[in-house]
Amino acid sequence: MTGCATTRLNQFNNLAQAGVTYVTASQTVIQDAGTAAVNTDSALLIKVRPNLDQSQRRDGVIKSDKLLKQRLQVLQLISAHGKLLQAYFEALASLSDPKATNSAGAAAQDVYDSLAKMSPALKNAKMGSSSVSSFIPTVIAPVVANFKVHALNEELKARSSAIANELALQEAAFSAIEAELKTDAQEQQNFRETDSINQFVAPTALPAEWASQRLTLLSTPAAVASADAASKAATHLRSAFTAVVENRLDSAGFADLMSDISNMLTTAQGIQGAVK
Amino acid sequence: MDASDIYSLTLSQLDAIELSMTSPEGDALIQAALPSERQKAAQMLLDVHQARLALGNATLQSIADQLKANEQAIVAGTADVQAALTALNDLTQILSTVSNLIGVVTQIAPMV
Repeated sequence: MTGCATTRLNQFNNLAQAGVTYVTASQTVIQDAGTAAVNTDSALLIKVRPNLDQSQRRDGVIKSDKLLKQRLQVLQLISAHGKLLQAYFEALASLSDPKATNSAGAAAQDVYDSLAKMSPALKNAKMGSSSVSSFIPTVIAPVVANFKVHALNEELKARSSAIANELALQEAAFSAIEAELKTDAQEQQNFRETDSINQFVAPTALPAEWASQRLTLLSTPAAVASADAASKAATHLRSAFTAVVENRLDSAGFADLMSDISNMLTTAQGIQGAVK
Repeated sequence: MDASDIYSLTLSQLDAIELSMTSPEGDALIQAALPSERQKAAQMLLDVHQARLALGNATLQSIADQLKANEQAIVAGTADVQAALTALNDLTQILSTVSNLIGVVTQIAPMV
């Protein structure tokens, strides 16, 4: 019974830890997406500016400003919502932490010790060959574990469809965010590549750093191509949630999920350099 | 095909057009054109880009609205889990209080 409760607590705790890490990493992706949208728009406006008259320039920049404000606002909404989801996973992590100091067990031990001071009979009491005192933590621990598992199972019963829906929406949100991020990052890459080509074609002398910049430029697309790590992590988190509902999230599944989330963070950090 | 599929499909087409127009090959074509054609191409590129921004905003806003509708459940879940934690802490608190009380009784009135 204790083993079952501990296993179940571990499943909840793994899911909760993954959820917290996922939301933290997803905030970086959202930040990247906002930066990329504004910087790509600026780069494009600079690019088309010489070919537009003043009226076209004014209309263009005003419209872009308006659209970018909306973009940053909606990304902010998604980010703020992510913080609520993070608070939920943090609460789950606190309740399901099997390694946390079992303060209820320690308190029960204190009660027993205090009683034992008053009663030598209780102090010397034995069950089989062991003293009752040594049983206190082992008796209380499963009670506490079962209390936690019961509370967590009740939570799952009450919220499973809402959380499954939430994770599906996260998947949709990051799929859309990353599609735009990918286009923005690729477009900035296009501009840099075009600049590099134009520098080479121009009759003037090449800048001293032309070759080294070209190497950096041609190496960057790898980061851009993997910009879908967040939606993949959201998909995996949803599978892990289903596995917890069905009482079958094992350590291998958890390791895969954490690897996806870690990849998401690495990718987001890599993209930060590409969209600056 | 629902509205979100149509949005998504149109958005990916706009993405592809914009990337094609800003590619080194696209840029070379635009630069080789007559000034009036270049002006038209520049305006078209800006229009495509802004249409992409607008459609992307609509797609994200639609998802954000659905996330907002789910917020009540997330907040209620957090409150319920915290209530369970509080109940557990209350139990610990009661046990600690009993322990302290017995400790005091032990000092002032030795019993057995």
